[in-house]
Amino acid sequence: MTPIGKLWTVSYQPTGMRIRAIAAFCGLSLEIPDNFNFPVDNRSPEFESKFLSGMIPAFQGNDGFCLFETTAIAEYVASLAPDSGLLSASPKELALIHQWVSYADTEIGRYTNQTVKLLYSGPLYNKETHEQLTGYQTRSFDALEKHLSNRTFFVSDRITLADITMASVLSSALEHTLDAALRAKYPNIIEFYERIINHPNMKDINWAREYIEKAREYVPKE
Amino acid sequence: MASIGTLWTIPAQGGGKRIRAVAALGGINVDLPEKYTHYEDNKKPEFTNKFPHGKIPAFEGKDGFYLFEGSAIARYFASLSPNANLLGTTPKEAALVDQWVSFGDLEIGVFTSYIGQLVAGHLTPYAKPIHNTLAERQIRSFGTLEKHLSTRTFLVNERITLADIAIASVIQNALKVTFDAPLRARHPNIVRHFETVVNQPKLKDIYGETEYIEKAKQFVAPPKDKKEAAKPAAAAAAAPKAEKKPKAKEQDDDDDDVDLVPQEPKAKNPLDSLPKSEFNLEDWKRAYSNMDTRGPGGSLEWFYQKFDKEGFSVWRVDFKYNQELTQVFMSSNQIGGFFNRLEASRKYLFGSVGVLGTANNSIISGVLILRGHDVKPVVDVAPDWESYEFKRLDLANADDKKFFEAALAWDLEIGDKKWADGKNFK
Repeated sequence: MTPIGKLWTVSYQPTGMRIRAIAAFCGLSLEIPDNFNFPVDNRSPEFESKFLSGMIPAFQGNDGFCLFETTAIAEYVASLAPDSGLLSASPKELALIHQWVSYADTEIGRYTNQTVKLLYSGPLYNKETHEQLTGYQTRSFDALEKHLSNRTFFVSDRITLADITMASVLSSALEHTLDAALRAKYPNIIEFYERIINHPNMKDINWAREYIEKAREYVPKE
Repeated sequence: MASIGTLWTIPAQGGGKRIRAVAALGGINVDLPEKYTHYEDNKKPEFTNKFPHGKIPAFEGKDGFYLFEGSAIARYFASLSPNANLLGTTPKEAALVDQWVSFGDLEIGVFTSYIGQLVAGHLTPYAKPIHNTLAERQIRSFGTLEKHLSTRTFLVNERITLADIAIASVIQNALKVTFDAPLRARHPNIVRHFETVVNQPKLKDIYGETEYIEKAKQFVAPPKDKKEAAKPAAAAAAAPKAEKKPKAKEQDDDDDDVDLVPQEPKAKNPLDSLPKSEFNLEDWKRAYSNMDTRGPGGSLEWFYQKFDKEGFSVWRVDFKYNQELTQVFMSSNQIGGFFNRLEASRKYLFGSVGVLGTANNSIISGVLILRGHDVKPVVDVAPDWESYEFKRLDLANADDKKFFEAALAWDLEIGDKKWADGKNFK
């Protein structure tokens, strides 16, 4: 299959994983440059002439079209496969897809990222802030669990961009914050997650399949 | 044109401005709430039934369509007026609009928000290294934006799009906190682009007045204050009520940032809502400290005269794991540690707790006088509160009264164990 373009990312980057999952779901092929040395090569003049921000993930289509920012790339790749159903021709349905994509990033993904940053901030670690972040994220999990109690997918009755996005932020959370104690409260979330990651088109993506036992804690460096 | 519905937002909210700007350029008529108080109305069932997460901006369509997440609403509105081309004219242009919107929010907006809260002492204890790292990241992003705008009027094509609106919104916030005079001098195209957008006739009133900060906000250490005031949560609670508009803006900006600060004013402690009591805990603490405990003219006598059993209660506290206790001084330290962790409840609590017995054969026991009739809200501020057992005492009961008095007088004996050392929480 001809790749639709190149995606600069690293295997452990959850946002890159999201884009790869989207492409896989749509039956599209992405070329992942393997001679890419992060975080050095992305600051090279050559890279920054294509991708001004110097950040990954970064996408270049076969026609030379250059794009950065995960949400932009995700949506663009999905738009290349209109029959995939990931997006929608209905403005309201599309709006709901965007709503849940945004929610996934700002109400779940963001807190995982901030928590991990905090845990590795050395002496700048602050327990109160950590607890605050955990509180926010748990509140979001509560809302998700409720939302998933009577639905299979986030929008309508099929996998959309919202579901893949949500699964990708849950994947990160399952490696850092969404521990056994919390998971016990959220059977719907876990069932949803496993449904998405085991979809035949996406099962080879490197989603988190071993979940963290206890949420990561601060380890002071001596 | 008829209104399509209501946009729940507040005038200062950047995320809301963005949507209103899209509506204005797209010729969409949307109502703003007549009466809405953030942190209050968004907690009520009328709101949360429609928008479970209780956040703004939120859109309520006249046809019953509910939508939250500012970016989704902005795009939805843009899609309703295709002639305005606010999302570009092709899928690639739409992708570039997305790119710049995302970049603006994630690579500029969040740093304004973090830095704003950091220097105000809201988010995490101020630390210059954090401030510097955040500032550098943001400056790098300003550089990216400046470069892109050095050869173009608008971000995506030759016309204004959602990307320009979003970036202008992000820059307007940065101008109040970080994007100061020296930075502006180095990024003239960002300034030019910003002023082009906010001065569009249809957008002037929406963006309103812009504050151009002279020097980027710096941290100013607060005056010596109670510990509660230094706590991020309590400080954030004070902030929404602050008159200073910039402060309110920082918190109510962009959907994400409304919530980096706790949504509810944490200061609403249920203990503060109890009916007023004549018993003054601070007076009691003074009496206990200044008078002998037992005997005429002592603090116990004072206590029985003044105590209000409707407003306060007395409790016995016992450590659950006495078999772990070793040296008396270490157990005494443990009590001290527990009391330290109860600091947040200082105005609701008095305690007199001791170690009884001898090394490797001791127990921790004592009494608490606390506000209200439920021990949990007062003591669960301490993460280890469940290592202790709490039993309500009835001072009309002779045994309970004896226990209470002895714990206060530090001469409590339980079985063959005598009071060896103690601590007071006062």
